[in-house]
Amino acid sequence: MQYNVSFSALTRTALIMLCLTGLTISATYAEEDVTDIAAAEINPNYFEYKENFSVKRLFASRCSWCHQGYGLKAADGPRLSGSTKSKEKIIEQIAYGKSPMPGFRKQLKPWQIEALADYIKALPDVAL
Amino acid sequence: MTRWTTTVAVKAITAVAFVGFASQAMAADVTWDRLLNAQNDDANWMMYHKDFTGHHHSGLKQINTKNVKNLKLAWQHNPSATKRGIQGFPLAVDGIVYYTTTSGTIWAIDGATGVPVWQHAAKIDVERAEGTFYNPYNRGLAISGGNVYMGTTDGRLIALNAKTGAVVWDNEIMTVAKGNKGFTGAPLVVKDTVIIGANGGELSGCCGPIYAVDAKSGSVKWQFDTIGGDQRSRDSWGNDSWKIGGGGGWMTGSYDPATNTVWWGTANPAPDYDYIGGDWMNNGPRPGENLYSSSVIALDADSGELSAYFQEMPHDAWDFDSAVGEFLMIEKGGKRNMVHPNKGGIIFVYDADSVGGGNELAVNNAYMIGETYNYIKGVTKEGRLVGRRELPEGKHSDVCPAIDGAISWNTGAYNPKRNTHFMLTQEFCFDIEVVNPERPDDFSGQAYFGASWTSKAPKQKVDGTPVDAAYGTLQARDPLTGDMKWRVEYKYPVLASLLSTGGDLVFVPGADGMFDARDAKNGKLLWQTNMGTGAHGGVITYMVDGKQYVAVVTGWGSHVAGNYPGLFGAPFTTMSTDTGTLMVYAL
Ligand code: HEC
Repeated sequence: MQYNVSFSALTRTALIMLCLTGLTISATYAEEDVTDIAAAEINPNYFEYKENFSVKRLFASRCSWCHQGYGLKAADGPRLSGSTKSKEKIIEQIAYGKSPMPGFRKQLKPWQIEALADYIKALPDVAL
Repeated sequence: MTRWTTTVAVKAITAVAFVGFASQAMAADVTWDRLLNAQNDDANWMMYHKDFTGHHHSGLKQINTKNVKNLKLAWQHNPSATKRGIQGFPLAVDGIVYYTTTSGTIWAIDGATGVPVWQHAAKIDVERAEGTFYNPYNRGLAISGGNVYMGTTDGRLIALNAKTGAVVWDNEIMTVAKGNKGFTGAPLVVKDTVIIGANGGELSGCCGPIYAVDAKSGSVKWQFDTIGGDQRSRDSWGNDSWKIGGGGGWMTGSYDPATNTVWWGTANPAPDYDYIGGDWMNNGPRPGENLYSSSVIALDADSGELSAYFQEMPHDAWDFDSAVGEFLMIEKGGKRNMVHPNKGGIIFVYDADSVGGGNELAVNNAYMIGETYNYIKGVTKEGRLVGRRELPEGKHSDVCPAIDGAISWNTGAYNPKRNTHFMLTQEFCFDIEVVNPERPDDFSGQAYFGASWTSKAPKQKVDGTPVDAAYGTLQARDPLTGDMKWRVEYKYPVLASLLSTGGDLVFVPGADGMFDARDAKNGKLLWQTNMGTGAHGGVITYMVDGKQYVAVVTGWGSHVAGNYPGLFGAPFTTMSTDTGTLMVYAL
């Protein structure tokens, strides 16, 4: 899939600005879902490991039980968009967990953990 | 989020061996005869469901509709931090209250004074336990023959001397070889065995075993695999998908002495959600009906052989499992019925005598108690689902109820004098996107589901009435016919268990921490107190030296509770998920 950097960055900036002005917005009202935008940014970097890799699909099969809305909504686990943790700290969290979050170091390959961390860092600071 | 975790606290406590002093007589041995006749012994609460009728009803009536307004705190016990609150059922035996907190800590407390008698903190193999989503949970214990029994999240069963807390045996019952990892439910004592079921419905493991363990020696007497154990089960999982089908029986079932059968509810199949949609008999990640997931099973108590079964959710496409451990034995007109609530908001009424031979249980009736569901159109009186809403790959809006179900794993209660079953429902929905998850390695025990979702309020009731917020109900019904006697709405769905008493009361521990006593006749609120934090565990009553007590555990946080900040805002946005207290009330 062809991916346009400037378009997605603009959409994201617009969303953040909307949030700052205090308007209640939902990610679904945006031209494009912010989780799709973040994923589109990350996925191609991992095509070398897996053809047509989809970080959202990985997220939905491992993380969504506790992190709702592809990471945009707090549930049993916190909202992940806007995490103040560094990429390294996020990798550590995914690998080792923190009760009740399981550690995934035995279940996921290092590149999958990194892709999830990249995706979380790419999410704008918005909530569902 | 607090950075301080309970795991740390529990480890610290483990190192400290302390034995307190009891002012009361120490617990006498709990013989099988006492357990068998527990429904006639209202001074004690000797098993998870009180007795084998499963009614969660005590005949005690010192506290009653007339004087409940004078009920006040007698004592409380703070077990220090307990991750995701206290979720277990206390037991009360001969003046001692036993209860469990996070990660397998047992407390024995003097039931009249609240003075601690002993405490035991199991040392958990954290690496193993934390491979599951359920690692902080512990839902209680069992007692018999001078021992108390508790399962652990790393697959062990522990027997402790009920008087001293000394370890009698501590055995690994389940290995990780097939991907299952641990126990969260309370055990059930049947004769000279201790029965406990594995967790793991969302993990790519097998085979969700239920074990009967010799109470004296701690060795496994029999094992029943809820999935993949017999040919009929294997044939109902295409492509050998039973090897990654999860399974389990993670809540405490019951026992029917008349037929010598153990009744148990089983977990959902993995993966949660099925991207193939309607063609699930032939294709997708687990083609077929997936026996005996989301089923009720009756097992011969001596051999563990399947005596009968009924799959409440054939090919469960919604995670509406049958793990709820509530089995009400209700005799009427010479007929013995076994009533079982399913997470999808359905009450199944089984013919308790249709066991033997390993066939399907006969269903006397089935009815819906959820109010906002749309995952099916309904259920027939024979217990068959009508008008399934499959969830194929892609986005689906306003699916009701959400993954959390209309009925959670705690239990209702039944007042036999009034023939009234008190039940809770939770009414909220979700938007969900179903994906095709990759098939994990066989027996790998990995997280295995295939969807992302966002919970939300329902838009309407089944009858079309518009709804603008999530809510809960407390319903009082005839359990056999389903006829409604009264109904009370709760702003925040109650997640705790209920207690019915001979004082004609029903006790309701609220999600917001308000503890209610209601009139069993009409649901009228007669007494209320604020416990300081939400509850989602057990509630019991017992008597010591002629005085009646009501004990309830508090503490908040779980997969279901995690929806509340998003659905309701305050008070849940700031409610601690790392605390909990045993609260005990008396006149
Ligand atoms: C069983 C529930 C559960 C699952 C499954 C789960 N998490 Fe978590 N997650 C949590 C909880 C609870 C926390 C908060 C832990 C704490 O700090 O106390 C958390 C925290 C995090 C954090 C730290 C956020 C921050 O800013 O502090 C990240 C990142 C994270 N999770 C990512 C993931 C990813 C990626 C997956 C899937 C591979 C995943 N989680 C699966 C429950 C879960």
